[in-house]
Amino acid sequence: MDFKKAEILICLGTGGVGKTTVAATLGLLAAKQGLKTLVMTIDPSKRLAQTLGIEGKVGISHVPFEGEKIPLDATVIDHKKVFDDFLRQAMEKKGGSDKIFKNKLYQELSTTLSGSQEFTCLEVLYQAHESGKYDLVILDTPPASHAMDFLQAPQKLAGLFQKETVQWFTQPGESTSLIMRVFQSGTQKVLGLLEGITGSEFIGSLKEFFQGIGPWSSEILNRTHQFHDLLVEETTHFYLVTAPDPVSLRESKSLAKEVFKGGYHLKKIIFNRAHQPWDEAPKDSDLEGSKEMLQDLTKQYKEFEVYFERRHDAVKAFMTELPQKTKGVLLPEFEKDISNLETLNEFSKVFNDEKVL
Amino acid sequence: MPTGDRRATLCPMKAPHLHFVTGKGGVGKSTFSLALAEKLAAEGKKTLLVDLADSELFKCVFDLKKMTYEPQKVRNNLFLSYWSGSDCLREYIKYFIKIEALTALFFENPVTRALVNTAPALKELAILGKATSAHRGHGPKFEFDQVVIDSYSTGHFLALLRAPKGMSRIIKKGPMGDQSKKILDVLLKPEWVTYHIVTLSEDLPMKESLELRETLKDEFGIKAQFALNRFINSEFTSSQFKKLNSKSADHSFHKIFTDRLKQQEESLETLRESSKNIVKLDFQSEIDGKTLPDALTFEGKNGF
Repeated sequence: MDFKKAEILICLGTGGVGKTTVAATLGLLAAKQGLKTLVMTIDPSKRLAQTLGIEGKVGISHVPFEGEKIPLDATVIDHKKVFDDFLRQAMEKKGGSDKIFKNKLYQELSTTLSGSQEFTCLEVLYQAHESGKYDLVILDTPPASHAMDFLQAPQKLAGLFQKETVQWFTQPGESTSLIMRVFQSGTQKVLGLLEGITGSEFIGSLKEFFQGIGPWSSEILNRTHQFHDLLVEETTHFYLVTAPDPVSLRESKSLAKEVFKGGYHLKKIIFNRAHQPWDEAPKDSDLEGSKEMLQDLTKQYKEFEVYFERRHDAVKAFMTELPQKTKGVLLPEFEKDISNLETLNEFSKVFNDEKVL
Repeated sequence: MPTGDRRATLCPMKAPHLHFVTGKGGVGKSTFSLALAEKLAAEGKKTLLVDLADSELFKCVFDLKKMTYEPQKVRNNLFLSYWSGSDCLREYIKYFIKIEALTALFFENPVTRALVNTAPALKELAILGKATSAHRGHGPKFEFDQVVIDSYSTGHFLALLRAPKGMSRIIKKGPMGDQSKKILDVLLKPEWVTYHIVTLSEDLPMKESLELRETLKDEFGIKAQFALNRFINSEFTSSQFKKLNSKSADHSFHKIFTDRLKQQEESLETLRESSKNIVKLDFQSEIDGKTLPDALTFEGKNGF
């Protein structure tokens, strides 16, 4: 695998395509090439966390592997802690009260605030990159029904912390401009409506939430701009991980288009489980047994053959339809359960980007 | 029914049986949802298949350019809807305030838009509110026998279920707290709701599925059912296939297939230990790209 000119590598893709495993494997490959690498994962499976030695650990851990010359580091992102820390830092810088941490809505729901997971991922990525400690930082993106959510989330979160939103809850009616007054009179009506539907306790808590977070909204907004600048850098490479079935590829196609359109650098498409793990069809001369069983085995084989053929055709069509030339990497189905560094290492051997599709 | 009279919708409605379909990403939640919905519809039940994620699969299968919030008839007895959180909320608010202009004001206000997009738990509550509206007799007309909701994968699904619980815990007074409590009550009634965890025989999905079932049981008292996808249908067992061989190499189809069949047998045993109700979905149906009602095999009793 060629990591040339990459300082940040982001693995995008819908859930269940093997993004986290791919991210970990890429980390191992990079470290073997002599790059000081950090792998950042979100919600890894227990197995993988154990494999990397990061299960239940806070902060960055070292991953020892055989033949290690350059260290490989890994970390699991703790969303709540990163979000809290970010606000605390902003508070230290600008002063202010910590009442946001006492707000019930914040306590209960700050990690489900949509966009907050993406925000915290990018925050950790930003810090790791800024620290200058690593040659390469690899980020596994949060599970989302739409992979595009990752790129859109910071803007969405920023939308919530626009001056107007915060003002709306904190000091309605104080604006002097006519437009703002008209806007706010509409807003007051809407707020009353919302109160009718949800009740005053909810609205009260929501107001408190925005009052608490209000002073830091400009910090959050600034940060999202910094994130964007970092993501469009020439040295930030995107890898799209996808399942090779026709339906997943339809989703990946629109994702790839969005990534190109957004000015991000999509460098590789990784088709996981794209071809069969066996290298031999069942041979009658090798097998002895009842006719019925041999027939059943052949029938099963034919079904799998059709299954993988369909996948191959879909991948080929996908590559020709891409708006920009991009490298495609085909991975086979991997029969072994990746539960330690040895199997991870074995999996890394099937990664090959020299055979370009 | 005149839409102006709220009381009219309070008269007892026949409430649908709800199916929530979840599981690890990539295990085939949509495929299973589709197969289940097709089966229920084929049995003559008026069925609504609900997508929460704008899935490409349904658009492919039913040859649709786009899915809509309003149910589209796609087969005999089978309807398809795409529920986004804001669509559910919009319908609810419209029902609540009755005045279209005010609803528009609400949704065209940039602040509310941003709020609806990001505010904690609002969308989740709107979706669950819509699903349970007939049971609670609260909300616009919603008449189906069966509703199959192709929901989010594990983590997001738990967040969806936790929304009414969390909200009713922190907001005690007012409609938000009351309705959250009522939504939760509906979701916990096994006679009204069935939870399906879709899984594969492979290690990772199996682990996540078993953990999810435990979490649902411990946190909510929900007893979820398993659906085993990509089920390899063979008349023979792995030990029979194992005996077949004499000379084939380690990476031959015969060896790998036998191992997979063995893994499937073991996984099925593990699933049976934790739940009596298991549905199997044939691997074959994935190859065809279309699911047929007879691709499903049920083990145990199903109360829906």
